Amino acid sequence: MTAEALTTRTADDRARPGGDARPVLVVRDLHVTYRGTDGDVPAVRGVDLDVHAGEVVALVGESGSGKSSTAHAVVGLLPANGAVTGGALTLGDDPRTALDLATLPERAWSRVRGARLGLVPQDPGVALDPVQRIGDQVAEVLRIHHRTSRRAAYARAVEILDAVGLDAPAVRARQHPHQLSGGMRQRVLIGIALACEPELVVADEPTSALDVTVQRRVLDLLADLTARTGTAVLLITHDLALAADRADRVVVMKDGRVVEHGATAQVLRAPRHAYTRELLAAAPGLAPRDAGGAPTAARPAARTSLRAASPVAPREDVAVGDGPALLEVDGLTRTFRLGPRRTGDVLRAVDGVTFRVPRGSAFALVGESGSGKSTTARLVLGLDRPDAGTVRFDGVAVAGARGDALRDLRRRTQLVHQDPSTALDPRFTVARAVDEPLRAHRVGTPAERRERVADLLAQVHLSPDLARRRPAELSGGQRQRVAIARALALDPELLVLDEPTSALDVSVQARVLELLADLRERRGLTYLFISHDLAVVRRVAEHVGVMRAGRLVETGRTADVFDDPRDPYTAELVGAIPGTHAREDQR
Amino acid sequence: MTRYVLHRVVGAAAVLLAAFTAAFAVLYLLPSDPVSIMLDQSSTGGYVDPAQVDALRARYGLDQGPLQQYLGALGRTLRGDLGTSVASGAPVAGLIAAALPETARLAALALGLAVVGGGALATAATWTRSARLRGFLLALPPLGVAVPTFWVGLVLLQVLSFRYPLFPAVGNRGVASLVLPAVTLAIPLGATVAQVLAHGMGAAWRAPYVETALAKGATRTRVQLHHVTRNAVLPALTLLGVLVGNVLAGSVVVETVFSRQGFGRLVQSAVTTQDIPVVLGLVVVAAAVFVVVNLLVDLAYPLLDPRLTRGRAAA
Repeated sequence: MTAEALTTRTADDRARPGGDARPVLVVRDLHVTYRGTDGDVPAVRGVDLDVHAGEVVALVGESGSGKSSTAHAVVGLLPANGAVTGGALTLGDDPRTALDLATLPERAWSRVRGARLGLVPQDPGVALDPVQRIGDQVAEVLRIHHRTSRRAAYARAVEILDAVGLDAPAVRARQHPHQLSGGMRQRVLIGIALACEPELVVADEPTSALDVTVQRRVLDLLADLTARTGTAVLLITHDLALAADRADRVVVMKDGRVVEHGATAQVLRAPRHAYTRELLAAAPGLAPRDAGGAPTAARPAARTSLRAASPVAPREDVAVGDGPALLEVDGLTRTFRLGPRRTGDVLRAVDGVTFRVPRGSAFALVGESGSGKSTTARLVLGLDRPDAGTVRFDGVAVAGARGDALRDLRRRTQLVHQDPSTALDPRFTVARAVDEPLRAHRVGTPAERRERVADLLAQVHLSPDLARRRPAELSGGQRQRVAIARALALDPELLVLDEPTSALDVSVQARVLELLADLRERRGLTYLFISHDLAVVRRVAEHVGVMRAGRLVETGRTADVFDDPRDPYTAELVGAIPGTHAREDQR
Repeated sequence: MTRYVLHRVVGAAAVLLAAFTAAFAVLYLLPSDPVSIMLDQSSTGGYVDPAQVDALRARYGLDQGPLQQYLGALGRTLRGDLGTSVASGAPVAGLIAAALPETARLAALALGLAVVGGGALATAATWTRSARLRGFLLALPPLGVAVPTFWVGLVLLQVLSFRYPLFPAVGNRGVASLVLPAVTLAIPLGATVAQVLAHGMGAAWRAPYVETALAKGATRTRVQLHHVTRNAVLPALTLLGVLVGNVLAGSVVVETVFSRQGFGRLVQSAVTTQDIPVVLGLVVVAAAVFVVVNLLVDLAYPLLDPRLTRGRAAA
């Protein structure tokens, strides 16, 4: 990697963090307001914030906390109905060139953005123009701010692509965004943000759309490059664990206000505000290990017996769990054809996957995007047919089920989807959504069903007042509770939970996970839990299978797999969990 | 790529065949007898000689079964012979060939005006940050689609020909005679273009890559030109094929209102006189124009949108 190529200036040219130097960014009493149909909605209410040269400051908060509005106010890209309604935003540690961004006219903004202020956007999948070549998109920022020739800007763009660690940068420069992976696209965007060596980079949830191992490498790159140029970073994140790993200082926001700020270690070790403590407790990656492995730790005897039963067998081959299996998956394979039939290019999305889930237990499939975990879930539910292998649910082959047997299977296995905002029909009320499976299976009279719906809503801790609302009128957490209630309507035995909390805020996620654990215990449910988030898996499942490129690379008790990974890939995954650095620091 | 082209060409041919078949079936099933219509127009009195009727039937192949007639007509059409007009006795191909250039000129001007006008309106409406101006501009296209073409034509005639004689009211002479009919035809077309483009540009302006471009320091004008327009035009391109169809349909009204010779006028007269060979020929030609334009759009699309040709190469 030739990160030097990106910079002509070194960190020594910039003031060192701390000391008497002026901050690069000073935010004082910032107010941001959105005009809504029912009057003005304040999103940021008096935020104070300093970022010094060479410093990484993390702005942490949940959705609606105002962290994103603060970031957008700093780069002057608030949506049309939003405006800075008070306070000052000063950019620049040199008094001669310092600017008040709050009152900057539009014309002047175009000289500041890209040159003195970079933005690394949230979702690299959509943040690059799909019809323009990568090289031209990097060159554009250079052409805007330096009056260089098209050819010189393009040549420099290739150097930048090299500096952000893209292989064959000259080739990549001629490609279009859809030809690059998400991680590569985020590298390109980092290159664009840093191309003109800005004083400050605002990174708005830069890796929330990326897989955990990719996330780590991208954040390493950002840290490496900004450290070289002494560029300050304002890191916006919902993930306290990620902030803990990456930031020098942490600023916690809630309801438009800063509730806590300080050096990262200090905030983590001794949080002063109740909300920070709540966030810390909810952040799966920061939780102490014992708490995570609770189901296993509570039953040390079982662990010993498993070990004793197969002292030398490699863990991958161990059929995990004891007791009668509710779900048995054997040699499951699903391939997809890529391109024309004659080329014979196939993707083995699921490749010889074998595992069993005892009744009443929770088995987690973890892996990154494209690892085949969701395809496996679809095969388990009989929503897709395998090319080879079998899925047996309570002894019945899922693939062969027809008619009444299939209907019965559909009743006994239910799915909870990843994104509750799209998994509920927007036109159905909550009551109707929960009632739908009952009606589909012709269960009970209308009066009985009404009673059942009320009971289900109570079980997921939703107020009966919500029954007449529609999904748009609910919060994300409430929607997922509705989806869970719907899945429980037919008294299923197996719940397939496909990333059930990945779209939720951490504190909401923690409560939904608690609900799931509680329901499992009370109703004797069996869970197949699909997740990319190892920290969440640790809280939920006794057994885990790690998937990579369609194969199950490692299976075992969650605590064993995570504490002592045997497969190098598992080790990499575990090492990439945000909060790892922070946890180690605390020891 | 060759597979893609082959696929599209075969599809286009199938659409043409289907159009021919549907038109033939409808015309064959019409409760009218071309021969008696023809004799009504030419004969002097009420008397019709049955022998003459049979002779004419045989000449036009109407004495054969429906399948033979269909296959015969299909075979002749494939050889480029569209038959002869029942009303005038002239070859249908010649009639259409004479009418098409007039309509092509009209269509080209109308389409040009529609694309330029509609594009300008959509650009202005999405580029401006004044909500009031945007609201006003975006209210225009629905109005343009809603007003009937003949009404617009008559109003234009009334104002710009009769009250202020700026343009000729009727005829095919010179460019000046093209202006009013082209404007009349362009209004609904331009309104459609504006609606589709404004929608696409609005979506493009909200896309995250626009935020990235603004964060690079690009001005709104630069973003509009470099990022928004290109992204919005691609999906709107598919509209072009539909618009060409609309022009042909619109020419029926416009050429009648402005008393111009052309494709639309021929359609109108052939339908009124129930001149079945001409109607069938017109349907085939119109379908062919429509299919060819759509085929060209389909073939051009992968050349313009990199996502369709250059496959994933991500490692």
